[in-house]
Amino acid sequence: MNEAYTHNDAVCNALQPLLSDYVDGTLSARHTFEVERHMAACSSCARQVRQLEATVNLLHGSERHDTADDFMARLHARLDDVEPEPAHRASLQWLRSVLEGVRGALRTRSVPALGMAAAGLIGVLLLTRPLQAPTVAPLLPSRAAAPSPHVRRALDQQVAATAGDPLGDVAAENLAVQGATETDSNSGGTSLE
Amino acid sequence: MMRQPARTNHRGRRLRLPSFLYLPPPVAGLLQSADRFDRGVHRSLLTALLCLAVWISAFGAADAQFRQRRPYRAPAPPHRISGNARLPRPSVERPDPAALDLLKRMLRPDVSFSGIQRTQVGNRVSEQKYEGDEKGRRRLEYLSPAALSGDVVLILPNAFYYYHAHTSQMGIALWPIGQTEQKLRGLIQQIQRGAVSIARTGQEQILGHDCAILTLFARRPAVAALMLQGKLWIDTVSGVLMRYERWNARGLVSVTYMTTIVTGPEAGVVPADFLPRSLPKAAQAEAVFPPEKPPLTSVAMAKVSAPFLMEPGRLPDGYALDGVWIFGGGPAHPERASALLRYTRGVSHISLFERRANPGQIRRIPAATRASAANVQRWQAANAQGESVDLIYIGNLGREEVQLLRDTMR
Repeated sequence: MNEAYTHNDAVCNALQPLLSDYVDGTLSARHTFEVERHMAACSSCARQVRQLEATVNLLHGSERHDTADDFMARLHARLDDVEPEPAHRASLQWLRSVLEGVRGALRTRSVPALGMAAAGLIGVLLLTRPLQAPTVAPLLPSRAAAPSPHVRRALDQQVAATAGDPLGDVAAENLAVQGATETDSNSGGTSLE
Repeated sequence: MMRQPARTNHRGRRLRLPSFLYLPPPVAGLLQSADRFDRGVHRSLLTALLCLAVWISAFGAADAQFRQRRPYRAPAPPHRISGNARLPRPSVERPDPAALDLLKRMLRPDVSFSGIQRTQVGNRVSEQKYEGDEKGRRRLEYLSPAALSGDVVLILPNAFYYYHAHTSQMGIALWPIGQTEQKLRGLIQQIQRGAVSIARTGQEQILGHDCAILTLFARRPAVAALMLQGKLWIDTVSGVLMRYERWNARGLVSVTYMTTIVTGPEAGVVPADFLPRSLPKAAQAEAVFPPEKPPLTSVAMAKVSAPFLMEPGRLPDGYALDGVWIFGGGPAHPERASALLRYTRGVSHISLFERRANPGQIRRIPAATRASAANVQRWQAANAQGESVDLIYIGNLGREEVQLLRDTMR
């Protein structure tokens, strides 16, 4: 064994990004040589490559499932229904990024950057406010499952029937049926599917 | 005038403040120490203070600007109201003629109008561009949420069109001629009979329009108190409905209100806005209801075409059958028939959609079920012939009322 290629964390970290391409056989000749020479000395990286190869073989050997013709249309429709990230969660992400900046400033001893990070932290604390929830009693869950054609037709008929009533609120009825989804779990019939 | 002492910084530079500028010693000391810009602690402190000042001023300006542009927000209604605890009890023996007149004006306003309307049901909100004219025609173009954005709805006296933008499908319902007027007469008869009470209960200004508040109550024979059903804010000058709240025994069900409005010729509403050809082209059109077919008036008549039908043995207080519609089926495919049973109590309605369960989807029917208060529910039940029937309920009943419905289906 070439003693120059004993296990070395720096070399392992440098070659990590290449292991997946090595398994796929898309590396250049030079990089392939480097990876193989390192694997001969590093059992950790060699084991990782073996695991990658086993995973790829497993995926290639699994059964293929075809999706329905309207799969993409339904997927996009459901993605359109995804609720936006609540504001308080977004501000927590923001807070995390500010703290990362502070940590970086401390590491590099950049005191002005630390001052700005501190000001940013104070600004976040001042600006972050919880959303005011509406006072109307919630009736429907926020996520809607895709109903079957029969249920969809019933919901459309409900909206149309409301339009035929003198005191019908079509906008409210339409909004209500759009959010129709699972009922409480009971043995008589839970989902609208 | 006190002369500020000359001081030197760590590099031996002399710093002297102007003699006319008197400052307290601590502030003077701070300013003089600010000369030491190579001291990181002071630099960072000043940087932080400067950034904080920028933040606060920016936030204050943005907040002020935001507050100015915030649209009309009506006061939040009470979450729950029991009976008529907070509202004056109207006279059920003699309906208020002024209230009735205002209700009729609402259905046919005196002017055309357009604006932005917002609707809230639970924690879901939609916004739509809303137009109406003196003939009672209405047009909705959805702006939000994303699932409804682009949808267009036309509500005409004898027809209903719904263009679904995401699926490029058009739902069409053509009512028999005069059905809307017939329903209005039925509502007025309910009011005159005392089953529904209507009274003018207040006055409020919305978006600069003076509005009268009409409140509708329902009588519940089993309970002495009246139950609030709905509140309408109607412009006393034009008859335009500015705000509409629907209530049930649990509290507020929905609220729909205008956030902006223009009335009269300035609204820019033209008759062509209400023609079906103004709707986007749809890939597929479907009759949502049997065209121009009036509903059947009893379940017994409907069972001739749909023998599998079931009906509740007991209805919640005050509800009566509004009509039964039969869809599909026919002599060639009777197994494909489905039905809608609709019950009403003035403002509130219950819909039951029924069809024979597909053989592959028949579930084991349990001996007892636990109902919920969800406004759309689906379950299966066995009819008198032993057939499994698929049922979909849509309404705003409480848990006990839904349980009563499900337990007595026959």
